[in-house]
Amino acid sequence: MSHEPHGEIGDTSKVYVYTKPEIPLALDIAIATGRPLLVGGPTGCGKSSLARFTATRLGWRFYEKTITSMTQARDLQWEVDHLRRLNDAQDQRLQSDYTHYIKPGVLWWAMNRTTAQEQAEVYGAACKDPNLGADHPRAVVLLDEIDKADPDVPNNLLVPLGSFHFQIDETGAEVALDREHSPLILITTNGERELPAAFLRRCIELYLDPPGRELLLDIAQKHFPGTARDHFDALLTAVETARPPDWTGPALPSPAELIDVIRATKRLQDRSPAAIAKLVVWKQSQSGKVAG
Amino acid sequence: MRFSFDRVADYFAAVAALGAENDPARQRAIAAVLGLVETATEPIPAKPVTGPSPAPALPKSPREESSAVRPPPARSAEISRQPRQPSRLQYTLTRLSSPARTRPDWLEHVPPLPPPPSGGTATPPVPLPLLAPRWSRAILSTAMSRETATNTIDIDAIVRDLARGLPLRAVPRRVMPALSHGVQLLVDRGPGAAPFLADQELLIRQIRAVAGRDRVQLLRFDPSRGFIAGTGPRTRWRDYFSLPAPPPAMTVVLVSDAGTAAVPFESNALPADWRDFVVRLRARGNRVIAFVPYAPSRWPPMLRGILGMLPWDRRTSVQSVRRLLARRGRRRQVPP
Repeated sequence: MSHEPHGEIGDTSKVYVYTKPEIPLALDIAIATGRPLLVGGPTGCGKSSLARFTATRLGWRFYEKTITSMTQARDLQWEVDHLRRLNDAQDQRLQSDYTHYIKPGVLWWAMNRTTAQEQAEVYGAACKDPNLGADHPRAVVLLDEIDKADPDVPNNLLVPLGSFHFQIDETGAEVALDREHSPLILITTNGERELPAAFLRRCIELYLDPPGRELLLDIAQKHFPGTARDHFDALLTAVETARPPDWTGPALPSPAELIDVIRATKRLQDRSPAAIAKLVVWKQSQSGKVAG
Repeated sequence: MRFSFDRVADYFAAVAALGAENDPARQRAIAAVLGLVETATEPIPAKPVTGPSPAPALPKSPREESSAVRPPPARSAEISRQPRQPSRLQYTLTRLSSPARTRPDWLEHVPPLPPPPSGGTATPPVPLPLLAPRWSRAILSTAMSRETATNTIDIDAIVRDLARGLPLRAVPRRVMPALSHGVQLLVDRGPGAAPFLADQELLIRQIRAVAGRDRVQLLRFDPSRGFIAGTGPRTRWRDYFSLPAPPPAMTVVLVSDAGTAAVPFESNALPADWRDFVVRLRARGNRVIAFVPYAPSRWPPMLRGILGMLPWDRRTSVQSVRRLLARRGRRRQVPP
């Protein structure tokens, strides 16, 4: 497969550098076994980008859901618009069938687009396929930052992720996987929280290490092919120089941070790289405070 | 390694799907990614599986990695097997009397024992977790979570109000226990809690693993010095109540002997000091719960009515946590 960069400069959905050789194999195994791929690693090392890139390379549909502390496992499967139902009741327009108030979630769209589309049409105009990728029978799903969810959420996902099957509580309707078109599900974790053993057992695990200097330069070159490697090297040195002597953060910027700083130097050409590098260091120190 | 029948089935499925039946190197790489063997010993040949599958982007040989698979995170039951820290405790034995003994003849012919392998440095045993490892996750999760309004509308509450003819003034949300508000972890470093130093560190790791590192604010405090607290060296600690107060919805978890153990020759906090501390802590509106490593019969009577204390012990269960919370009526909903 060719990795010639194309698209917008630094576009992480179209350019991705595998920082370890096991990455494509882990993706292949996840597709072959139907298991979710749990991708761990520090912030900015390319966990989420891997999902976007994989969807682009495979030409599959792409669904993304960023998990928050309020996310429940059910939200990924379906949502019930109770507020709309209440409004309909007030306006004497209440539909006796709950089906009119159910919106498919990303897992439903990924597992069975046909039934999700039918359900979306019953729900109404406000519900559209949230696909961010190509038009393809199969899909890649990114469940981003599973750590942010409450501890019960991974456990509540065991059945839909393990058997690709779930039942809608309100209507009793069953949603089952279109077996010929099983999705690839990527789940990212920063390792902020220990995930349940039962959940881990159902996943293929992949850990992305932060890349070293040479690999960072490779990544920069792939994303910005028209620029000399020395330029990126000088930027990295500027970031290192901008750090205070008592710096205890990561030795190098993450790939995401480096791409940001390169993009900034290209678009803000009136600012010096040193000034932008200082901003990167400040940003890193703030993230360190939050994490610590 | 994750050895299970499911994993073995995954292995065979992957080998068949990736066409690796006659490729031992690739079989081993697949086994490594699935966690069935420790490492992949050779660079992994990337082959597409279905359609345009990804392949390595780097033109040069990929870096050698020690393992494709992330080492499993430390489980509570496994923490006891982690590498131990060398002891800083040094001691000297002085022989008080040396009775005269005759050296027996046979001693001349006995070979000496080999020297200890580590240079004789003694390492203390790593303590087992004080909470039952099987239940610790659920115990901590139950103790720390707060009732929180979710995005889901509470239909039952609406039906209940409408059935009573009450107007719907606000849309009620379904309430569920959640850890999203975070935890302030107050770890006692006073003389009374000194015997539990290693246990405290273990519990800190467990709490961070359950609640998430980013949601745990760790402070150490010393009740014997006027309840000073802080994060860095003790010299920089200040009065706990002069520090920024945690948000009201945040649970405060106290890991302390709560004044149970009075250490001789130390300036222990008096029971009245503890009572004042707890009263001021609770006045802030936070839910406060204490893990105390002593039997309830030894807990200071003065604190029993005002502080929710849990025995930091193997016998503590999720049910006992729930009973305590129900008793103290603190399962109330956090205001949004």
